[in-house]
Amino acid sequence: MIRALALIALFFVGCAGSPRIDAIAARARLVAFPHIIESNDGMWLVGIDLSGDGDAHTPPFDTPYALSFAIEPADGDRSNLADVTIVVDCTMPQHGHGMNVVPSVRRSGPGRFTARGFELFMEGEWLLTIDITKGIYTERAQWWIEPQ
Amino acid sequence: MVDRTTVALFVMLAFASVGCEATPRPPDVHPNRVPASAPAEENPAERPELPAPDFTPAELRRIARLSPLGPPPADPTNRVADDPRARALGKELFFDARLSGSGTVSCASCHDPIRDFTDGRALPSTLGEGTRNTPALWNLAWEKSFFWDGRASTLWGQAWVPIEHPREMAGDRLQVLHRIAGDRALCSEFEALFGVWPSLDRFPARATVAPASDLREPLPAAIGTAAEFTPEWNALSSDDRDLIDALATQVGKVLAAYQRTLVSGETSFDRAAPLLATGDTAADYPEAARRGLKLFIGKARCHLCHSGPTFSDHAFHATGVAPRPGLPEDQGRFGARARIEADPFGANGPHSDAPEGDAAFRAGAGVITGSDFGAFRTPGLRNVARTAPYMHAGQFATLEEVLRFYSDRVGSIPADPAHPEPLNEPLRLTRAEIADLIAFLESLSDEITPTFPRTDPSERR
Repeated sequence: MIRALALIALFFVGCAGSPRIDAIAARARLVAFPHIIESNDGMWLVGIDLSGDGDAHTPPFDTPYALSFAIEPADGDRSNLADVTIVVDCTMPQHGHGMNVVPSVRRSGPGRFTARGFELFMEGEWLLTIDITKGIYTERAQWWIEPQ
Repeated sequence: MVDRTTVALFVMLAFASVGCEATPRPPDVHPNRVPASAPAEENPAERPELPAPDFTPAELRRIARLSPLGPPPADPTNRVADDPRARALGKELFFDARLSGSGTVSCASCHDPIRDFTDGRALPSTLGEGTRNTPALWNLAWEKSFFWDGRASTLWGQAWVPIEHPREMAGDRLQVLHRIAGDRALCSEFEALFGVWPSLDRFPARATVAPASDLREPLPAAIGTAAEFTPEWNALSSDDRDLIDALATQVGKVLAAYQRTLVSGETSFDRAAPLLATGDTAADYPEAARRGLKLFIGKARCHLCHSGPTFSDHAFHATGVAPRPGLPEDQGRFGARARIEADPFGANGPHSDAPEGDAAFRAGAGVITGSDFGAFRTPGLRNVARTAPYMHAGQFATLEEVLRFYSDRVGSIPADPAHPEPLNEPLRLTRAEIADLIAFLESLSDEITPTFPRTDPSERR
């Protein structure tokens, strides 16, 4: 039995730097978020809570609402979160316009943000974009949503 | 030798690892295009019970969004918004010509109650001809910004633009405040709501703040700078200007309290909508209006902008309507940016009662881009059949002209290729479809007869 436990311990030590295990861990940190998407080049995982309170899965129609989300490096290296900044927006590319306001983003912790000011005034699909910047690199995560 | 327990543990770990690898994405996890909702149609087994035979479940959901109107939303930026005393005082002032420079023009001169609070003209003409159509005042309590270009973020701040516009009422805030202060009974009504007024004796008789520019007379000076204001206003201290603006705010807030009461009444569409939602045929609702409703929320795509119970998304759209002959092209929303930033009566300004609320955020975080050039606020449609002419400069005399424009788009401004808008494609409506849409729009009329003073209140004092 002792030998077995020692082997398991060795297994985990050996896997600690494994990309697969780190990615699983990164995803596990976002488990509280109803929606998880990847940025377009796969560098980031983004957990999205459209309601800001963890319940609703769709944004309200023509009503101000907040959005909270979490950024996790896909490789699990959380030291990458230290100076990450984000810009969020919502547009209707098929109509050539966005919202009437620019959402205001507030950082609530490493990789954790809330954005206020979303107001989707038109029926149809809106493209939510999250531009994640670290250093000189910006990568976009995007997701289609439809107000109800 | 590895014992059985160890082997079992390795097997479990192997399964766990394989399990992690093969775990499918949750339905919501998708890096690209995942509609947040299920497709709108069409599983017959999931349809509501007894849907109307000619409305799909998606259409019934759209109808449900259009009615009833419900109670007006609160206005936290105006603490007297729903105070009955403020309503009564605002109603008096709305009909009081002392708000104008000459003492001959009141708000009701253009916003005539017997014409659904419009002037019935393509362009207003009081002290001079304006450049934008006088909008009806129904259901202002639901609006999120005011004027065709949304330059005012509060109903109470909006009031001062026509009062001080040289071709509308040609008044100014100091002149109006002096007149109120000189009417003891009137002033005491303000003091009952807002507290004791200071003496205004040290101030000049007039100090026009901002001679509002428009297409006919664009301002040479930058909006919000001292060059825009009169010498009398510039000579005042900052504290004195704030004091005057604070008192002017009181006037605006009681006027807004009254205008919030201008809520349209129940319509034949409102009576039919709940019946249609349950699959009832709503037999009392005219068949043409039913067909028009189906077009409104379907082929004609009207509901995309004319949405919600006021039939407006409160947003700005460039529909490509050509300028009125004789007027230069109107920048619309694009030209409002400087006015919004300079507005002392904004929802996020010093005189707002909720400088941190949603309206304040909207005012402070508003974004205006190139796609807003020529864009105008979506007007609500309740009572629209009675509020001709239509569009921001009264370009169309009848609803039929409006619908024909959207149908064939003859005479429209070519779309900017950089800002495509498929909604501006011709609808290709038949004459019968246009008639049906008009029948539906006529079913949005109520039977309210506004009550209003028959004489100018200043004459009764």
